[in-house]
Amino acid sequence: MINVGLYHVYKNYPGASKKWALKDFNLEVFQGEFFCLVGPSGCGKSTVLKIISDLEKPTSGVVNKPENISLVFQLGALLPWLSVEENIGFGLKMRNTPKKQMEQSVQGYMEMVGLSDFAKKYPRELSGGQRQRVGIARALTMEPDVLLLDEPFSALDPLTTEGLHEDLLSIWKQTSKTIIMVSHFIEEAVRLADRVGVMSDGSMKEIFDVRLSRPRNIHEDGFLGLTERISKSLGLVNE
Amino acid sequence: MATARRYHHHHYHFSYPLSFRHHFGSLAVVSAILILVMLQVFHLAEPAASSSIHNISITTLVAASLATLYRLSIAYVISLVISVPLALLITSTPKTEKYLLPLFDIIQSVPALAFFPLLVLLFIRFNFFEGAAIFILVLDIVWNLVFSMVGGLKSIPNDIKAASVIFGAKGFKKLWFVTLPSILPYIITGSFLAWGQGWNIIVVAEVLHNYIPGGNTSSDLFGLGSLLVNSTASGQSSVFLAGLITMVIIIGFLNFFVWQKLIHLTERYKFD
Repeated sequence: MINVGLYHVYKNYPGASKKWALKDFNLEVFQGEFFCLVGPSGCGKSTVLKIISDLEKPTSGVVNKPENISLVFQLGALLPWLSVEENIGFGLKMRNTPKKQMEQSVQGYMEMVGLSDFAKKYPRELSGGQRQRVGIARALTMEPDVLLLDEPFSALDPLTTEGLHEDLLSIWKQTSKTIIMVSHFIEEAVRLADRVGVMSDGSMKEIFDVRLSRPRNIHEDGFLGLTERISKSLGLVNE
Repeated sequence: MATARRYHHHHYHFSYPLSFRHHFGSLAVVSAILILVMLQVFHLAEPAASSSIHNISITTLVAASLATLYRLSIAYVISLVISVPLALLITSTPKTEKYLLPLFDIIQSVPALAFFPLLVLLFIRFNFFEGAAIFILVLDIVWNLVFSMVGGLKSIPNDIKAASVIFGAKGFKKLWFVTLPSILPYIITGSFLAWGQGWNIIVVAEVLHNYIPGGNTSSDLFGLGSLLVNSTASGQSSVFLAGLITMVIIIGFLNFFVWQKLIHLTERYKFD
């Protein structure tokens, strides 16, 4: 079942130096799928997420998506004056969720991301990885139909990222959500996703199926071969 | 768990730590220097008068201080109430910013005190003497607040604005739960500057009789400002010094117990 569909989507920003951020962009993401979007800087991957999350409207084209969509930001975008639990519960507070229900939800997702001991701490007291966990928990409390992640680990060190990969996959298994993640790193995409979409110059160039069973290992058969094919598609490897 | 009482050196006034001892030590030194210097100045300017000592009661000083503080507070609150919607309006769209910012920039650079004589005449007509002082204060300090807030509004990260949308903070909720907390450090800084400016103006603004044809000191607003001006004019150096030291002490107290605390409090609101 298709959860998110973008059909012939064009997007331009008036006055910007590059005319079209998205040119005839097409994408279908299935219910419960983990989809990863990769591409060079400026190819429009963040714009895709903005359009799916309603932060931007397409200039033309059709966008089918469920109502409830949440987003995890690259640099957290946490409110610095709120504690961890207040940040996580922010969306629920905006929805006027009753206090009891809100507390339960916040506790639950805080535990899921492993931050129960940090409830009263403030973002400035947390490491980058911990802030991203807060961001993920915050997005999850909205119980979204689709979870978007915008290069969520690109500002973190490899060790922290690896830990977060495992946690994200475990959360995905627990919640069965549709996940669309934008990434800079091909290896990350192949490790996490069911399918990897390669974007270039505002449109979808090629989509790869990742038919490896999880947990995936960079050294296993097929992993490197796939990353190489994706790199080639991105134009990173010389023929 | 018992913790040892420590001397709190984490009070931040601007960018350096300022402890109680340091702050009020400096205040004492400054007051002493002021007294000595001012006595000298009086001696040079009006030797005959400076030798006599006039008394002024503590009650009068306290009353004058309260009156002046009252005027400053009202002007500050009015300015705050005006400046928030004004700053929001200016930054609401790129177009409004393009046209309004230079406009208000020019308005605020016109010295408000230039209009003071005219304002006094106007308020006298309506028998609203206090209004003249408060109006001129507002006219001057509202711009500190507006431009500080505009600076704050423009420095809210785009991600935070996007997060407000994603997590459902719209309209008034966004204003109360995201925008205002985001600019709180800027509001406090702007307020600090506004009050500093206010102290400057109030010294002049209470002395209304200068602007009233045929007026005398009875038309003045009672307060520290008029006390300072009138005591100088009548050569009462001791009264002047008492008033000056009182003002310095009040400002010192406000700086330490109010402004420093507020600035420290708003550290938590800053985006890194």
